[in-house]
Amino acid sequence: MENINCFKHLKTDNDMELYICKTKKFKTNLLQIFILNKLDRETVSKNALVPFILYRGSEKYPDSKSFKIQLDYLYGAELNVSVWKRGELQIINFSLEIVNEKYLPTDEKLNKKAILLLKELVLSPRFTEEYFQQERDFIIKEIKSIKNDKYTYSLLRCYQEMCRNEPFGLHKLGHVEDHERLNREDVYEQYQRVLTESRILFFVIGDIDEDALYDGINNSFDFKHKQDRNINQTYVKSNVAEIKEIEEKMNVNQGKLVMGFRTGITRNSHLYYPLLMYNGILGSFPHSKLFQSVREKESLAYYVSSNIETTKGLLIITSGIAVENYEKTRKLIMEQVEKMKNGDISDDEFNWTRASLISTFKTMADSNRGLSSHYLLGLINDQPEPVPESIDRLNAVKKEDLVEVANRISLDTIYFLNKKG
Amino acid sequence: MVKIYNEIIKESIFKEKLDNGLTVLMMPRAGYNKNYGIFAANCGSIDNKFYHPETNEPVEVPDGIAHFLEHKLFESQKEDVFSAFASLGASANAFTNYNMTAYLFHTSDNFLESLETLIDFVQDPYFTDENVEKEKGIIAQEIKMYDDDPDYQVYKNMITGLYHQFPIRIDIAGTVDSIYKIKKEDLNLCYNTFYNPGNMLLFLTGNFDPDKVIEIIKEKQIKKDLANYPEIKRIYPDEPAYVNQKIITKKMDVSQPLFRLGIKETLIPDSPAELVKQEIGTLMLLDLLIGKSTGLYQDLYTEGLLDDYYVNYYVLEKEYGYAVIGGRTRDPDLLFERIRNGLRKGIKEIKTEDFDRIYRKTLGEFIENFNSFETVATEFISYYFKGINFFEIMDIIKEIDLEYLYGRFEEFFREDRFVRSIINGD
Repeated sequence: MENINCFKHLKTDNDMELYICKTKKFKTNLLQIFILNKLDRETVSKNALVPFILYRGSEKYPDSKSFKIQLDYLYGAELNVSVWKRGELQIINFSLEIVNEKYLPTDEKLNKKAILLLKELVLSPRFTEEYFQQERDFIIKEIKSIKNDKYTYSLLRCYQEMCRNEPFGLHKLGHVEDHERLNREDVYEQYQRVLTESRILFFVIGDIDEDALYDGINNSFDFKHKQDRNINQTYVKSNVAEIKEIEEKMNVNQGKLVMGFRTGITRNSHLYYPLLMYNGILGSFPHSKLFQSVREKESLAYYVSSNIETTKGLLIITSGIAVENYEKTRKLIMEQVEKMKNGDISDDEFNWTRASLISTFKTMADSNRGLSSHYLLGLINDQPEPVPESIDRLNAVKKEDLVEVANRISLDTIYFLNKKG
Repeated sequence: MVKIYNEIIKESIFKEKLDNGLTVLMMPRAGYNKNYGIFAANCGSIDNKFYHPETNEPVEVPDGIAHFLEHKLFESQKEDVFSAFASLGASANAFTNYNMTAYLFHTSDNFLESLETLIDFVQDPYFTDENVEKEKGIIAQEIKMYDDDPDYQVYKNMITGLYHQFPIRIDIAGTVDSIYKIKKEDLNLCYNTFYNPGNMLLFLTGNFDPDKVIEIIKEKQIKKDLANYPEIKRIYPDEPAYVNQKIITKKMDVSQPLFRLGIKETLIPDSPAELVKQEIGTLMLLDLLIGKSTGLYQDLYTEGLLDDYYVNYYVLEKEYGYAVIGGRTRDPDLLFERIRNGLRKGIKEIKTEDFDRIYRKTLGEFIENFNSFETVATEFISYYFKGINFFEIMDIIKEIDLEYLYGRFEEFFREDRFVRSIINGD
């Protein structure tokens, strides 16, 4: 079995972390840069703008069309820039995926070209006033458009209300009113600060020559950089003083019920594996309690599931329902949570969940992007976990451990998107 | 069993047609832990009128039946299907589109047991009045979820603008009213008409030995005695070449307008190779005219008329075809004018080097497909139902040149085939 600890840990001369996974499995090579920043109201909006302004043009590729032409020319290489939130970290991401030349009728050194393209993007931006203005307008529109997608909107609103006074409550793209006050110089300064001081992780996955790749990255990305080591300071709150209930009304056909819980359990907790089991039994599979009761028995919803955030320690249950079934569904969901607390878990539920989770771990290494994002999460939490070890630890979980997890979980916020009128 | 090796991808596909008519395609992949199986019926939401297999009378079934059937096949007399997969550490799912219904699983361990579970539940329907009734509330919520999705609504209105009669104008899931009319007899009729082995395809990929797997499938299929079935006779309405409605506007809770330009295809080649050539050629043409590497797209982006959530694609099936261009915009009317003029101007400016670039992109994307089991499986199945082996796609693409694309432009981009769909904010 090829496993997830295929990553070789390296450092560039300027203190960037480089993780290389050499594997013959994929038809492409994936190169990703992650820049980790503390999630903070002061910088969140500026950081969010940076990757989008960079993608507008560089010295060699003066506009986005030139970038896209070069990507088409490199056999449809795919370059994405994005902003992620993991715990109370805001992550700027650049990903470039390019076909491995062994499948092409060419001798071109595509990896070398890919590294140079990434270098252009990240280190030689034009950063003009025009690009700043336009991207700021776009990001403001983007933030405003979140409400178009009611599923994502209701989820975000629940997180926002739940973590109102914590950095986690910030949206990864920042605030509209902060963006309106920004100028190009503020963002440019922040870009330079981020580049010189933030923790930077470089991931490469594919059938590559490791030495050549290391040299290529080390020589191309030779900018001044010294990282601030202690970056993940996510505040993990476990106590809930009072349950918040939020109702909002819009013109919708379906109500969205979102329930936010605090687990206080993160990836480096001894209860992490029991939490995976807890979440699986409660709501992440079709055999889980939520799907079986809310959907299969009562026909109340098409989707109902639970998900965990393991850097901040949260659990979220989400479902789309007819608005008149709000009370009934909420009660039914809480009954399932109560069952977990009482240890009312069948052997089938327990064993099936474990088998499903083990399968998930084993197949994680079959997707290049899944592999890197999982490993990244481990690195952030100082707990990069090899697959065989994860499986051993899952196998060691007992039903009693789940009761311990259940006793730590408390409901924090109930959000309901209701029908207007 | 036939083995077909592809020089570009450096992988093989194994193909076998069983005595009962079922086609099995297998693509072993070394180094993977994952195994993936998908069992598809050539029966989609457009198959709502057909000749009754026993009486030979034309029948019409309620809208959304193929999708309803997809939900209900997960019922079994023995045990809950989801539980059966869960006990193997496998996870199952299914989907329905206009042309097919597919049931799938993925797993790391217990591949053969999971495969058997998949085949058995699809080949062993169990519909009761009670379990059919129970599903209605669930599907009603699925439909209402799409009712609140502006991206789906702007697309759906475009389709109803393009088509007068053809059943892609009906939602895949049907409507709340139509699904409440569905009875177990309707499900049985559809199942008996379309779910025979000759109308189905099994695609498997992962880390396994194809010789061993095919033997097991054969052995199990023989026991089931599924070989006798009548020919499927589908009834599709006549569809005029002109569009149904030129502009469709709707109000929803959106932050800025959504826009789709739909273009109706009226030329549908009979030969599978010509069909695929036209499909991919038109996709390349769209890329050359208004893809993200064109000046037109960049201008529209810079002026705030389009943003990064931009779509441009072309669909061509044996029964219908259309192109879609659109995104979020500050001004749908201005955007339409600019696209219309931009297309006309763009066709005159395409250079050989542009064509070469898009050809390289198309080749790269073909190779990249093979990173994802899900993508590979879906491509193989939908091309199989069109009569083409997905491995042959690059040979067809090599036949495309600029002259062909100029001809395509003249026959396809005709303004009487344009439909505008717009969603405005409240």
